[in-house]
Amino acid sequence: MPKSIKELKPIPPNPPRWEPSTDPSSIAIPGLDATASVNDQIDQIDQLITLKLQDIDANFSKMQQVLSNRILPAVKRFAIGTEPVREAAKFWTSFFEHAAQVHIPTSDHLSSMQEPSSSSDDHDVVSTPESSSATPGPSSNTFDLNRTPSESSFLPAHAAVSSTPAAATARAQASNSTFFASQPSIADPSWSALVESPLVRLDRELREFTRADPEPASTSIDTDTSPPTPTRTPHVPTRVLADRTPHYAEGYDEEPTLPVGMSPPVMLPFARLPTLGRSPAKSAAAHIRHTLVRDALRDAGGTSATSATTGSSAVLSPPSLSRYTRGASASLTSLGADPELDSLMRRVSLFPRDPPRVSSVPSSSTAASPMTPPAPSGAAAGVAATPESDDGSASTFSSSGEEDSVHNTAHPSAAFLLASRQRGRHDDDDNDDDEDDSLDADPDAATASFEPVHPFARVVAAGAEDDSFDSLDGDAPEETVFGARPVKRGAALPLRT
Amino acid sequence: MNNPHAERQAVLLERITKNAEKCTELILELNHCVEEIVQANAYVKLAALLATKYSRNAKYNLEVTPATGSEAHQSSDIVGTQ
Repeated sequence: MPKSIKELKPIPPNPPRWEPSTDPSSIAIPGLDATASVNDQIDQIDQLITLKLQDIDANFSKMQQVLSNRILPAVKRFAIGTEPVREAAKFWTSFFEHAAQVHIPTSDHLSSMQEPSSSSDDHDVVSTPESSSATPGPSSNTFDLNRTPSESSFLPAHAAVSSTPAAATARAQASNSTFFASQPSIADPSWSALVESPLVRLDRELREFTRADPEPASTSIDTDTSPPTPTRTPHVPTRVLADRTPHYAEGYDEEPTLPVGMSPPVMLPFARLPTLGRSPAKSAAAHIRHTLVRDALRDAGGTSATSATTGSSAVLSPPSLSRYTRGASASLTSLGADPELDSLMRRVSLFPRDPPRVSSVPSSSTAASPMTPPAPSGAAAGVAATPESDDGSASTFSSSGEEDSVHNTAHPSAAFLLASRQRGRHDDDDNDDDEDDSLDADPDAATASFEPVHPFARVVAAGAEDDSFDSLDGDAPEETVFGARPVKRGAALPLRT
Repeated sequence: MNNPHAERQAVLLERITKNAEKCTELILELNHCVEEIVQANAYVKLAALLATKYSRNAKYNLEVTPATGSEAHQSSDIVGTQ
């Protein structure tokens, strides 16, 4: 409980210190029975010693408790409480230093600058108060009150810079003006780095950066991998500043190629979409178009023109969902409650058949995908829709290639393959069922029997590599949205209609 | 003969030394904290000194420079806060 000063008890003065007497006969021990025998006296003395030691131990422990529980916390609270005062004092000292164009070193600067400049700094400290107090008139060391602030603050080129004396100092620095003569060169970077406002620092760095190396600033407009300039990214300046401070300590001139004070530009990794490998986008788009047209013509009896069919295919109800569900319900009754990947693997291994209608598979599936939301019965359809929605948007990922395992359209997921194969199996039945092939085809039976297939599940058939579905296929090429699989694309070209 | 006393005293001395070590460490830490505060307060002291000198110089300069009617009136308002 903190007490006010008035409530504190007056501290009793210390008792006089005991000083050993040189003459043993004159020693008087209080508490000792002088009339007892020597041994008894010795015992009494021992007991007195023990008691004294106990008292000493108690005092020490009390000291330790008071120190740890009251004094240290109070001191630390005081330190924390006076932190704002110190910050304000630092600001105002820098303010006055800049106003007077003078550096007043403190103990921090002395410790950082490591003594060789201490003599000159002492000289500065001595000279500064003298000069500030001695002469009333304007001098180089004192505040030049006759100098109007307009010349320093209203320059149009520095409109973004604050008009405090720090700005004047920054401009003086930028124009390589000299400071107070006895400034050690080592002190300047650390002091100016400490004292500058971040705006001034940023401005100076921008100027240095553009002056030294104009090309990166101009090419920073490029999108992909240009190094971020301080103008581009708001986060770069702080990092550059953080890097700069130790650079100053090392010394300016060690990197003649870089601008003064600038750390080497670092490229920040921009947030980008995952880079996909390349795929034949145009041929894929053409293939999709052809399959859509073919499907629509087949469904509509082939009466309308190609453009109309492509438009009408959007209007027609999706024909394909029931194919998936029917196929799934027929094939997946045995699976029961297996986990998704295992069921997928088993399914794939169970049905190593080729999709008979190679060309029609992706068209109807792509027609299905934008139209309908995945039904509970059409979980397979939904699964098929999901990779197909990826494939449908594959034109945007035209640069996708072999590298991205997730969105690799050249290696479609097993779910898509399965769905396409099943759909191909039932494709002949669906010519007349366009209208009915909506989501409501046998939902209950389908949901009961169908296992949800993860769209991105990688099928690992026995003995097969990750991305190769050779074990699943026979010899016939496997059709994808973009055509046959890339391995067999060349061989399978004549097979496509 | 002295053994019981000696043992007791040895134990007490051991405790005393331990407490003394702890106290020493605490006092060292206290010194460190207080030294940091003193170093930090150097800025406060310096700022106070500079502000005092600034105000004194400003006051003197204002008194010395030939004051027109309006300027003297405005500047006196500023300096008057000292």
